[in-house]
Amino acid sequence: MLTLRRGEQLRARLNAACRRYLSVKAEPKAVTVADAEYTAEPEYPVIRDLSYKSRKLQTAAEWHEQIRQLPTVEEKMIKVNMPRYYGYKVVDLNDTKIPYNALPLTQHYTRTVLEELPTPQAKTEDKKDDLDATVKMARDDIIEALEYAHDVYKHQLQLMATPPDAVKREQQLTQIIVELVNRSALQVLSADYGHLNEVEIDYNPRHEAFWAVGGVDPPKNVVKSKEGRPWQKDDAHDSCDRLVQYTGQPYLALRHRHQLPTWKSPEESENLTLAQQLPRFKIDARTLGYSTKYQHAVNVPGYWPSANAPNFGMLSFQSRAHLQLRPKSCGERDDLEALHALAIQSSYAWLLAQANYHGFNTYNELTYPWNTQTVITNGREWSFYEYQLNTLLVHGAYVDTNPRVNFCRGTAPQPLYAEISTEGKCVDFNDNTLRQLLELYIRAPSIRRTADELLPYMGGPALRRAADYENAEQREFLEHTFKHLASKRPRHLELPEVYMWEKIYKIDNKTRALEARRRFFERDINPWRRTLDQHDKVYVPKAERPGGRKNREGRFKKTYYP
Amino acid sequence: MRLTNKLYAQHIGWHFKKHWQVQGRRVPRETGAAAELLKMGIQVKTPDELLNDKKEFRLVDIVETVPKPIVEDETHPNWHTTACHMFKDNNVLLGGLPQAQVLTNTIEINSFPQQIEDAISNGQYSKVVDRNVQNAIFSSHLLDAQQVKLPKVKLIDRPAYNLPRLYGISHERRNRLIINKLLFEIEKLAGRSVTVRRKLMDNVTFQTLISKDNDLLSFILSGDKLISSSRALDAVKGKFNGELPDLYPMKCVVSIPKRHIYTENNFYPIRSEISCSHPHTIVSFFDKTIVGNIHGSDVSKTQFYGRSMLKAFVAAAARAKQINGVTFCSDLQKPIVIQCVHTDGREFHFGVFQLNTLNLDSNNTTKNYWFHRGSIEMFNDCSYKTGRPYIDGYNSEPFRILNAFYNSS
Repeated sequence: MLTLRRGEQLRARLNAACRRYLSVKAEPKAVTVADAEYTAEPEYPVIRDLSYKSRKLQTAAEWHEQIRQLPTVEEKMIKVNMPRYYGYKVVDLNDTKIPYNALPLTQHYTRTVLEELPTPQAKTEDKKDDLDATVKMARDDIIEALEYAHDVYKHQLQLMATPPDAVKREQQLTQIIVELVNRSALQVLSADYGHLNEVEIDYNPRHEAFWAVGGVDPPKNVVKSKEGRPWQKDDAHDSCDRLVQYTGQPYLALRHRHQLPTWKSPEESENLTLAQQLPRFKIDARTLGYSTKYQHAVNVPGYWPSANAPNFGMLSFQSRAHLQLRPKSCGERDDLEALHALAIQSSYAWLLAQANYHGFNTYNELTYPWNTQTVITNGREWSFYEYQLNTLLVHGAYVDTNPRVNFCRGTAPQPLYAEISTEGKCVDFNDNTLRQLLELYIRAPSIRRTADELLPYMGGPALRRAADYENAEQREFLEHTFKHLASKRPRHLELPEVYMWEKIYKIDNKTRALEARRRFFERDINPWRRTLDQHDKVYVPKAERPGGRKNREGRFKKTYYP
Repeated sequence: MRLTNKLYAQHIGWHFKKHWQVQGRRVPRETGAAAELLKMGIQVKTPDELLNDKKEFRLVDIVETVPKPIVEDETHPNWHTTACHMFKDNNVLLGGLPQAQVLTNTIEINSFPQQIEDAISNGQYSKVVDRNVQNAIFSSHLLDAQQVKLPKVKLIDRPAYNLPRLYGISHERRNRLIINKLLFEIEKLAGRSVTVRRKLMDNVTFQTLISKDNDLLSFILSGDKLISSSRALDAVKGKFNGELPDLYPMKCVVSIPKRHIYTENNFYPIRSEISCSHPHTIVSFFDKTIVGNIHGSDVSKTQFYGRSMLKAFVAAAARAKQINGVTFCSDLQKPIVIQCVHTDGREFHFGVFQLNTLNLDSNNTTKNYWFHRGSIEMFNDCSYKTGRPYIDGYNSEPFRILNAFYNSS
């Protein structure tokens, strides 16, 4: 009885629904078609290549575009770091170790054409110019500074029971010499060259840069993994990107408000044949002796983003103390190549970091060239380099297709003096070297650009840095997150690890079938896929909660990840 | 889940080990057999005595990569029978400035020498200089990108609470940068005629040994920057009189630890043969995480002043002994004047020391002079406030004084 009644009810409901539907259908529609929907020529949407590879490229390009759209320096940097909670695996380039045969790798990774200049000869009498008078004036000051530095350092070494090792000694002495020489040079020149009064001097600044390099052979595990998937099998041996992080600490760096003039025209800089002739270091950088590590992408040109800092590097003094550790068996040109490699790496990294504060990064191309000058010295031997940064695109297919190249030109090391005699006198002072050094100071940063031209990828005149935001909470969050990423502070909980016994008894041989599956590899969680924002939010105590103690919405601090 | 069960299931060897440990702790029960045997005159020996011969172990002298530290006893090459009071960089005088005065036989004058006072009041600076100085403060205190682990911060009311460790510019670097940048600014103002007569040197050490009223005093102090000059500073004109403060019941060497190991040599960082070797100004940094009282309490203001004076005194004394010989301890023919800047990056203390005598005995009528004013703060606070750089209470006075010091001759 009961079931029958239930059946009737259902049938009645169904009938009602059908009737309703039919009545809706039957009603006459008001046919109004906008004319705008039709055009004379049919406009079809773009036909997208839906293959796996091109979809991947498409998402990457979209991500790069998203980075470009972001208004502030800090947000761009956080955005680059968003995909990895534990940081990227990066090749560790630094200024304390240049392995044997590092020059081809350096040229490939920085897309740099190296021009070796001949050592300039002493000028003959008839070619004297106004610089000669300055050199003559600076000469005595510099000689005195050199003698003073050597004497004081030698005197101080007596006090130590165990003197530091040779590399450390060279670094300490060179630091003194570079500071004194820089001081003398500025004193002599600043009267005649006004731009030297506006430079900012960084003492042992922190220079860091992050970029992606394409055209490197894939590692074995990537090949194996791709070969295991039918849709990736054909691309298994395609080159893949390597991420690079440079870390350096020069003795001294000079910055100015304006840019140095360029020495290569845009036509010369865009040369695909030249770009394709660049050395290509296809094998892993670890084969040379470089190491890899996990860290966040950091770009620092020695200071934090600020409103009115001198933003353009003029001159940096790099250390060559580690050259002492190179075996002599590497050949005659080895030292020279190491110096070239160091000059290219440090100049590229410093310029990249500066460009980063103007909205450019390894995925967003420069719109104007950047220049800097680099000196590598141990007090006695000085090598001078000039660098012009034209492009930052080295990742992915750009390594083959990008017509732009960067340029570096420099000389072999030249002695500033032959030796310091036992009486503390400087022997055989080389005016020619001093002259070249002073020329670097004299070159005035003259290129001025409008703000729009300088910062094309920023959020306009009112929004360039996180400090420009109106929302105080957002400012604080961005500033804090940006510096937290740059600090390389270890994560509170270490990266999850598969222990050896787990590999044997849980992964390779499933011997513990009854045990609860709690570990990440048993629950299909890839810790590397954890993104930067996947963390517990900060709890706001009730007493400090905006909107009163009972406000449930304000329990956690807001995050402003880009 | 019970841990014991699990262990048993997985590792029976662990249980055997535990069993062995428990059994190994058993004490043999006293049976009275030994006493009976002794009564019968039979010697009782343990099995250990019979089976294991006694071996004498001798220390083998192993050559290690790191040389062994020399034992600090009478065998030490620098051991002296008379103990000496050692004053180093991480210590301050308990009595502060009064103790420093008694120790170094110095009278205090609460102003700078007239010539420097004039230079300070005459100094006129454009707005550009003022802005540059403020930029220097920003770039050394906030905008420098060094990030090292900073010392632990403790809350006074909650000492057990562990705050997150901050990463930022180290104290030493902050001070180095601010001094370098201020000096760069000053040298731009001074022009080449003055700057060629000065030389700058970082991280120098002064060392000297002095006796006072039968007490030996050894000072090893560092100057974080030494400005040397090609001409010695002129002695301050005028005669100054004053009384030494009374420290009773304290003795003037209180809180300076005694050591038997010390060296008697005198060290001034620049050889006297060099043209630009005269001390002009020393700059020393004060980091409260390194410098403190030997009993651990915080450094008071007068102790801070005392430290500046001692630094100036030791630099002057080391120079005087370098010129006149290590054993020299009487009145100087030509007084040595040295200026001292003592700073923690925010607070600046300036002083001028004139060394008239190295005879520090309390009955000596010639006194040394210490000209100084109270310390001045360059700013109240310089930090990021809600994501923006912020400076509060900027004061240009320290820069003016530093400039006057640099230009004085």
